[in-house]
Amino acid sequence: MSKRQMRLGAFLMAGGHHISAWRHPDAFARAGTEIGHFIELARIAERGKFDMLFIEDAAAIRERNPDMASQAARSTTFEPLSLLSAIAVNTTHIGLVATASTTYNDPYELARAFSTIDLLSNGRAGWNLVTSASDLEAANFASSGLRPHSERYERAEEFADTALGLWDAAAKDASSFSHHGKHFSVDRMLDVPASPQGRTVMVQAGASDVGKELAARTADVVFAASQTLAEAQAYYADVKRRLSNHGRSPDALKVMPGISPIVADSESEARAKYQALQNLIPDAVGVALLASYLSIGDLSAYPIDGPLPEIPPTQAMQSRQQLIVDLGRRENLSIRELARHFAGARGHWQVFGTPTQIADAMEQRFADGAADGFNVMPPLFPSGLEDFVAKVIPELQRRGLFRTDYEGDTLRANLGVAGQ
Amino acid sequence: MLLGFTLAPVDGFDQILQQVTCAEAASFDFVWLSEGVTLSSKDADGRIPFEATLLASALATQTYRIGLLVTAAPARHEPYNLARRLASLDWISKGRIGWMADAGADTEREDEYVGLVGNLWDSWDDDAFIYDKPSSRFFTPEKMHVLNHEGRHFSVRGPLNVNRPPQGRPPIAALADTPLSAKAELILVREDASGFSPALRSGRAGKSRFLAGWSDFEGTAAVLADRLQHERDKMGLDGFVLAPSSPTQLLSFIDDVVPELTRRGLIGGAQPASTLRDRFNLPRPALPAKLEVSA
Repeated sequence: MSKRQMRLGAFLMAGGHHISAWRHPDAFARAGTEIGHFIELARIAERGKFDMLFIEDAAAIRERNPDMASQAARSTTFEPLSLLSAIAVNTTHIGLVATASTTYNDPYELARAFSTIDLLSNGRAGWNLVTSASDLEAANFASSGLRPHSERYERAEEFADTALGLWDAAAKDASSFSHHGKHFSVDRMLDVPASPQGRTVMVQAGASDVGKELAARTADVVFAASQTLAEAQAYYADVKRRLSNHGRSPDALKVMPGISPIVADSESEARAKYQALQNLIPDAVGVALLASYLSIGDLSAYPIDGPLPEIPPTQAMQSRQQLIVDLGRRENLSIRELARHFAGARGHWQVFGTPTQIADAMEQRFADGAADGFNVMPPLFPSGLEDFVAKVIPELQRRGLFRTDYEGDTLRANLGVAGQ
Repeated sequence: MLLGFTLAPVDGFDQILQQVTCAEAASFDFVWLSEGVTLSSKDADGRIPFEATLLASALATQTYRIGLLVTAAPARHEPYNLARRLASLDWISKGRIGWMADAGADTEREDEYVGLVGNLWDSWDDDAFIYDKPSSRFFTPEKMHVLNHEGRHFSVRGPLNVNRPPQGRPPIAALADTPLSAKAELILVREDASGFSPALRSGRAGKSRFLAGWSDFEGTAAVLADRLQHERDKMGLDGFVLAPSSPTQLLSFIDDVVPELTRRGLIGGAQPASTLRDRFNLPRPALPAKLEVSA
């Protein structure tokens, strides 16, 4: 029996994942409107035999304050499903996963959209199911009569079941489809043919209990955000344990935590690359982000090169606040240094080093019950992805941990997740 | 004479692309991905098996000058989502998108919907995005506009999270016999001319282009060219939307009739256009709007 293989996602973003990547001389700053840049990133990832590429999304700008928003590249981008469709016909094997919210969509129309992408790509589509919580998003759909906060997950469950039902009916060549629930009524089949992979691949990132249950019941892939090995192992074990309640084997769901890697010929060189990005964070942006992490209104009154002032603890944020305050005290960090630390990392698992060091870190979590693979989030594009493909992928391949070529034609086949 | 066409029914993307690239090479102005909306009583059987806006995105990356008119019904999309989708398509196609707003029953809601989408496309000034790395300004803050639309049917804060489309506002098409035609820059007339009147024509003169459906492919090139020319002149049309029932019918028209139309100077005279607006000779609404100075 061949060795267990790592799953890899290429999490694409215009410019890069670092908040100030767009300012870097090498960044694809205009990738948000230049489709050629995204297609190029997809092709780099496909050369690297990534299982999938991944697109995040929100149905609104990210930052309400225009001054803050104008200093980052997060306000505008391609709409994700049109982006995926464009990439679909310019790639041949890589999976195509995009985020769409159950809160602001209709299950029939969304199932139809993903079926279309599945057809355009010959069976490589995936849907990252999210529910929307942000006020900025809600304000763009205020009139739709859509949804009290508490019903978010109830709606998401019914939404997922309706979409899955529609895909299954198409795959079985059923004569009709009918669903009548609390949130949705559908009495027709999709008018797009069934995909070669049956159902679109289901991806989720459930952190809450209801989220983890929905994932255990319906997802093929779960993305996660864990910093330490222990956190990652705990999450992995939790999600895998829930699978048996739904009659699913542990292999049926791939857990893929995020990793933010910078690779170079030496660890110090990798850290220097990171520092170059850190130096691009405008002070005002970093300090505003830090203030929001601390749940206090404004830090700008305090000297930026001085220590954090006394922070009144809030109930909601206690553990994260404490983490920041403790770090500041322990390492004697100024407001500026703390701001940069958190604005740069943003909760991701960061690994800086040589290809060997990065492969070691990934292999450890892969082998130690913390991951079935990783969602790779390079701080800077395109070089971050190019470096990973040129240097880390070959090391993983050399260790027998990652494919040297695609096994199948569909995303399901390459992920090794069977149909239901 | 403007020339568009709807796809002859085929199964796969490759066969669709083949029709579109042939038409593009023959200088057709646009393909209409119609989602089954038809201008002819001779209903072309067999719907194209893809959602239209996403099919357009795929086609956009494999073509470079033909226009892409997509049907998207207000009843099937939240306005913010559709405004995003169409703006994104305009970027992917580099300004070749048009939106055929398929009307349903609720006239008032649709009227507000179409106006709202247009206003969302104006969320950013044309020159808002400066990508200034040294000063760390990705965009100029004052050039972002929060819409705060509060209407009878919709409440949408905005702004849209897509840059202002290359065409400013992609042109909107509507059927001649629907209320949305009052807002449309492309008016689609049924082949039997129902819903079309000289009053409508003169009322929208200069603001809209009129195109009628055409499904008659019988006869020689000369005969067909005569008929098209006659119909255009009689009705005061700007062009036609062909509805071939098979790829062969489309290709025969391209091989036989297009050269005849070209020979007569009816098509092919203009400079190669870059955007759909250019093709239809529709002015691009700038943002901020240039002040009109009357002569």
